[in-house]
Amino acid sequence: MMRLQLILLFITLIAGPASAGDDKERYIRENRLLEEELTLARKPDIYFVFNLKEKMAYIKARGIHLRELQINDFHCWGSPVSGNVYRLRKKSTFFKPGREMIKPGESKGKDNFKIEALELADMPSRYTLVLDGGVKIFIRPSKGGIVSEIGNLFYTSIRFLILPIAMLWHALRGTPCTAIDIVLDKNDARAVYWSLSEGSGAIIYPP
Amino acid sequence: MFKNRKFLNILIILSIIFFTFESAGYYLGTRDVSFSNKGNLSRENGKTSLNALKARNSALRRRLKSLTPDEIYIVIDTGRNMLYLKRGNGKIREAVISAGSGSILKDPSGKRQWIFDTPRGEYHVKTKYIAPAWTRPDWAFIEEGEAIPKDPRKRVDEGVLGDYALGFGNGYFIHGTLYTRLLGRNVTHGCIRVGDRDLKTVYTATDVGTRIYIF
Repeated sequence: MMRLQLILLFITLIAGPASAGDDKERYIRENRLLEEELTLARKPDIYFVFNLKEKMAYIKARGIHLRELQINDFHCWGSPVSGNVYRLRKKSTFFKPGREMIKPGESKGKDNFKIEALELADMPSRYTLVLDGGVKIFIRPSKGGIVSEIGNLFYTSIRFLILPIAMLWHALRGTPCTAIDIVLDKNDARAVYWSLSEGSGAIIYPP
Repeated sequence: MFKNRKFLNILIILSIIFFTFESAGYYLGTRDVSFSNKGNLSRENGKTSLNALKARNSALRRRLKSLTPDEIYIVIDTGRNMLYLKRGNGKIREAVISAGSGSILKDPSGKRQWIFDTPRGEYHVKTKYIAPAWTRPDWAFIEEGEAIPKDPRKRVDEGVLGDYALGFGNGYFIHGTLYTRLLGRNVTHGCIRVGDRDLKTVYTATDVGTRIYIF
């Protein structure tokens, strides 16, 4: 009995300071991100917050939640994210939505009015957000349908073949490389593509 | 082909090299998989106590929360074609709207081009009008294949903008529409079209200076 108590005391002594240290690091990181967000909120631009801990993504402006999106699943690879604001460099997708060209005088006198517009349904639900600092966020829709399954198979093969090589390449060059897979509902994935424009700020809260 | 021993040897060596690289990369990729909060913490922060950090965290969260305005503001979701009239975190009214089509119109002379997007970001109500008249810009004539009139009076079109209009800069307005069946679709030239009843509520509830957030 005495031995058991000693073992428990030993575990408490070892584990206590370690978890306090982890808490401290978590708060330091979180405080830094909150400070960064406050700086971002001073400007009138739209920005994004990916909170992997809460499994939520937010479209925000001036600190106001404009829209909340549920993250269904996520996976992280590579270097830890920094406590800074990232900027979107590029939205990369296989089929980029195109704008309609209006032909002058064509709509006049037409009986059948056809809507020629770029709408949310035209946005891709599977794409990559390339942020500065070597961060790539792979957005995928939740499972559903054969096309989606084929897409997921293609994606998984990329993940297991290309990502490790990319990680090694970046490690050898000494550059950071972070890959985050995020699974959203199809319409939410489209909404992120719709709302994010190049140069938009993004904050990532680690899990 | 597989009887060729040399070929088989090369294949085995290449496979070993490939899988070595793959394993090394996989290890590097998953090493920090916890995405922990480890990182370069500054010395100053390292000395701060946990309680002080918690207090700072609460203060920062409060500051961020306090940014949400107590007065009425408008949020426009151009993707879902929805307008929300809000106060704090509460929703006062939501309305189906029509936002910009994103289409492109080129002047046949090739000198000018218009992209019919609704602008995004933070704006303010700058002007308010009752029974507004529309002064048709050049693109409205070009789109219809008509000649641009020299007399400014020929540009004025009455009754197409509904009962009210709220201007938020650069010629963009929140206004009414004759085409109510198109509400919920992206069909405008950048303005926000709202149904009559919703428009009246928005017009009455807002003042010049009311904030508008468009995304």
